[in-house]
Amino acid sequence: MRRVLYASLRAFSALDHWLRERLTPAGWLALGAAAAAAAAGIDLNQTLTAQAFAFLAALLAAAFVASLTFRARCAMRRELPRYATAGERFAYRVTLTNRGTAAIAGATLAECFRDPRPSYADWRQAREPGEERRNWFDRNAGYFRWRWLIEKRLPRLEDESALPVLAPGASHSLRLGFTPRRRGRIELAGLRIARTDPLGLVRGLARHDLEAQVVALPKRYRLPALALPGRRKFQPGGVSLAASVGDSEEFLALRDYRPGDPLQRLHWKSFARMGKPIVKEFQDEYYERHALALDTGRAAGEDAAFEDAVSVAASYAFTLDTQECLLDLLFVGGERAGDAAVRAYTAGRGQLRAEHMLEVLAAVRPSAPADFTVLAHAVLARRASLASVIVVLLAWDEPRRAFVAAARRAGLEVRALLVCDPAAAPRPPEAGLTVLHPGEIEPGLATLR
Amino acid sequence: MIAAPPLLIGASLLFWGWQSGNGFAAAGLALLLEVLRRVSLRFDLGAAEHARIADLCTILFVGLTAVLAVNRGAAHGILAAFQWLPVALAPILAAQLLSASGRVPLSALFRYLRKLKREDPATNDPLIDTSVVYVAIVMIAAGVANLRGPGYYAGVVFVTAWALWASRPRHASALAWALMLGGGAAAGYAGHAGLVQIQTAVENWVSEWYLSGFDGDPLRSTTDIGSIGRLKLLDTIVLRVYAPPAEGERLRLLHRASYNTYVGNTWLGRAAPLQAVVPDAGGLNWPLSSQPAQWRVRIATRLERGRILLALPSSTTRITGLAATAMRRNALGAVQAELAGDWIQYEAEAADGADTSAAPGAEELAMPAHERATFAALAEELRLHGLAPAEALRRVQDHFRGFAYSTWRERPAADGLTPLSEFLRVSRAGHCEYFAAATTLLLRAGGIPARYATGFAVMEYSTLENAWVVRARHAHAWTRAWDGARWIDLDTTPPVWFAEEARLAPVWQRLADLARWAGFRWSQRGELQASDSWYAVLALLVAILGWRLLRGRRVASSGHAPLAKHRVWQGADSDFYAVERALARGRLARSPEIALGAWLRGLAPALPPPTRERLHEALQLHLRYRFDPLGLDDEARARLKRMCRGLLTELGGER
Repeated sequence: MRRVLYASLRAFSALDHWLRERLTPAGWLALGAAAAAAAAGIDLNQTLTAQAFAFLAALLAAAFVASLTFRARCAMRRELPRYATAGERFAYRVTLTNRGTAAIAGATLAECFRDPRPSYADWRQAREPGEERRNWFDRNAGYFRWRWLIEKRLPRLEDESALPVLAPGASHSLRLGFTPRRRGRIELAGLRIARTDPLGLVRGLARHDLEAQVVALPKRYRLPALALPGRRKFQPGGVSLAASVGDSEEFLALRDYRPGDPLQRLHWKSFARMGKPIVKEFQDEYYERHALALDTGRAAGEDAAFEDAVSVAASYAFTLDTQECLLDLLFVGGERAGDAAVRAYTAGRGQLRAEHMLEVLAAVRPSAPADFTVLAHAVLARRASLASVIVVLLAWDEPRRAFVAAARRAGLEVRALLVCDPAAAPRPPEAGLTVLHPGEIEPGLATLR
Repeated sequence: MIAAPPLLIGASLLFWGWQSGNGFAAAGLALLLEVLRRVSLRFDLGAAEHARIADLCTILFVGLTAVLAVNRGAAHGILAAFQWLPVALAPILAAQLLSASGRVPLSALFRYLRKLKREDPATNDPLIDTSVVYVAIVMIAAGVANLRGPGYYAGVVFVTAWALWASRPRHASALAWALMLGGGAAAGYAGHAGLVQIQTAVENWVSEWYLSGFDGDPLRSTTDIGSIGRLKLLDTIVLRVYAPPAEGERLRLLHRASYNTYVGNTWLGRAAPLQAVVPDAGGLNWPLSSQPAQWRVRIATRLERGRILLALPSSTTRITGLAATAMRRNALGAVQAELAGDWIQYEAEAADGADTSAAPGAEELAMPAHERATFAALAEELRLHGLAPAEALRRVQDHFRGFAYSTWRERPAADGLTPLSEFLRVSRAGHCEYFAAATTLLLRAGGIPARYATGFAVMEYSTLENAWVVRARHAHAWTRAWDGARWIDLDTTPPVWFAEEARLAPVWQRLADLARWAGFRWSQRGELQASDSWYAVLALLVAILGWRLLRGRRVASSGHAPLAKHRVWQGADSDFYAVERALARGRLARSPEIALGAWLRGLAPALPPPTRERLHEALQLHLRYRFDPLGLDDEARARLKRMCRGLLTELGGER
């Protein structure tokens, strides 16, 4: 039954896409009027509207046949920036050259995206934010979830851009644009030139495959001027270790082995050459280092609170000046449930740049709420090198409260932000916890000092 | 959304006014909306105001629908309300024309969108121009008015062309545009004609399975007098009358029921209760009168819901061969039987001059009050009073000769006229129910007792079935008049009715009739009563089957033989296989996937070296014999044989 439902949703989406690509506003009106006329004219003896239906249907059919004659052979090139931002218009330049032998007149250009229809497994497993509030039928039919999944993957489109008359061999550049609805990857499939039939009802299409990707970065909020605690701490191995991967360290010199030196630091080549143990010596470095911990534990999925929490984290990652300090971004990620692992990325001093951090945040997905403990342990394990922690929370429960308390006890300056609905805010207000509500994030952030 | 070009709204409204007969309302509305488009007066209307106006329109429309549904019945009421849609929706367009933006927010029209917008203010809520949508609604409402004729189609084409021309793409040439529109108009017209055919075919198809109301009611007959539109004519066969073509005249009208009281558009059988008919001892024969039979006719009729008003010659005296569970009759000549099945057959015995209907009473002279004046005046005009019944009947028949037959009615009767008086005085055209009802009432007005009779006209002889076939559209109504001694059938409907209805029959009727005949024959199959010839045919079939089976086996066995031979591989008779079997004895047998050479190499250490060499040589010969397409020459073949024999002896000795 669900397979049938899925297949019908797929077919419905395909039909919808087919019609949207081809019908002009006048075509939609003709189709709607034909449907209404058919409904009113079911009994041919009672009304005459079946005549209107027959006429409009014939016009649409004729227009469709005429639209099939449209041909356009063009070379196209996109100049595509790497990043877009969720909720903000993304514009780019497209250059096309008419490679055909006939001029192209009255055509329009639009972007095509990859088929956004989710797989059966995605559709079955996904939960639309607020789905629990939908009625039994909507929850089981899954239409709204289907629509949400499709809208997630497709940006908000703009009207088709009109092309001037393109003589054979002529080129033209124009700007296309769209507005990403949410953060994440946007996959472009190609460009489409369209021209309506003489009646102006149906568009004839000429597609040009040109695949590309754009990453839509999370939406960011303005933050007040930040004063992070300026406490430098010993960073073993120097800056390069800041990436927290491998044993590559800032090499200073070689010296004789002293009892207590770790074996890993033996320089075996020199040992062989000199006949006595020689160890590598590294530069000790002191930096400010801050952690930005994002709580991804959300049972309700990617709802407004989750998205705002990601946006708040993105705002910090983007705004903090990492010229002179390091910023560790930590969150729990994992492809599947039960596969939770802490992901850590470091920005500043030659490590990742702010855009990279945002790119990482663009792909953050919710995890199980209980996985927060994994994140808490990871942050506390780094307490020796950290000066402060900014933690963006999605709930205020015992593990989270314990984490904040433990971090403070460890001498870290903790800036705790809780993104939740007004109903879920802790009562009475917790000292040292900033509560932000979805939809009112910026005013909430403005109160920070 | 595109905007309607100037004057299109007004033009479409005037068209609607013409089609629906609301000329004044249409002109007023057209003037108002076109003036609003031109005045520079504008108001600052927000989304809330537009939404309120749209809600008001919805309430107006729902209220109007409710009132009309109560007054005219649900189906007609809703259709009538749709006719007034242009008026009900005009405030939305007026508000758009008067607003500063010149557009309406989409959320104003859809409450659901408003709800979404309340939940998420970022919900897309575009401003739209409703003018062309309004024009489309006006055109649909004009179609609902159902004013028959070419006007509606022409109007739709004209208004659509106007709107499309105004938004014509610049790249399109006027010629291409005109050609496409013309082609679309022609195809649309043909398509509509096709739709009519399809609807007729579907109705006919459904009627093969179920014919609503076919069982008939002896006490009530609701007529289509005054109904608008085309009379439904179904081709399905409902009756078969087995009589030679020469007897057609005697069987022309098969009577089912007569009625004596006309109320509204319904005929009732008053003061004529049903009484049981008692069958004779066998339970198959049902006497209606004691007169001896002079002639008989066999009739097969369709049956719906286990009950049927039998179609009989009016002079029927006895019904025979009918295994009904019950039979009833009334004084007006209706005979109703109860029994099971799809088709039933019976024989009607008749005697000329016999009639089972009772003599007339007061009801047969009664006039409904609202028809009295018309018919009295007409009877006066025809000077029916005091005439001998035969002369009066002739005069009435002559009067209706000037009338035309029509299954089509365009509009309700004008104010102050009943459908019947309009038929008599104005249109002078109608179908059989008009003629029968008018004749009945006219005779009564002239003092002659008369009844409204229903039944079937038997006029189509089928050479395929060797019987008269009666279709659903041959249902007929006529008048039974009392001439002082007996009832006389008087059918004033112009005889062309039959030809006119036959003309409307679909082209595939003959083919459909063949299928109907096959279906009927199938429904009439009894238990298998095989005669000798049938047994002969059966024996022949069994013989053919047996022969086919046996022959089939022979073919299969002779076919398989060469196939099997084909599968004998070259060299399969090599003597080396005996050597292999001897070697395998007591050792590890060779699996099929291991090559002989590899297997022998594994065994070799256990064999004495001379045997090993001979074995190798024999294997080479065997492989050549087995796989070389040229095979072995006789000498080599003999050597292989010799070597294998020697090896077998050696291996045997080894054992």
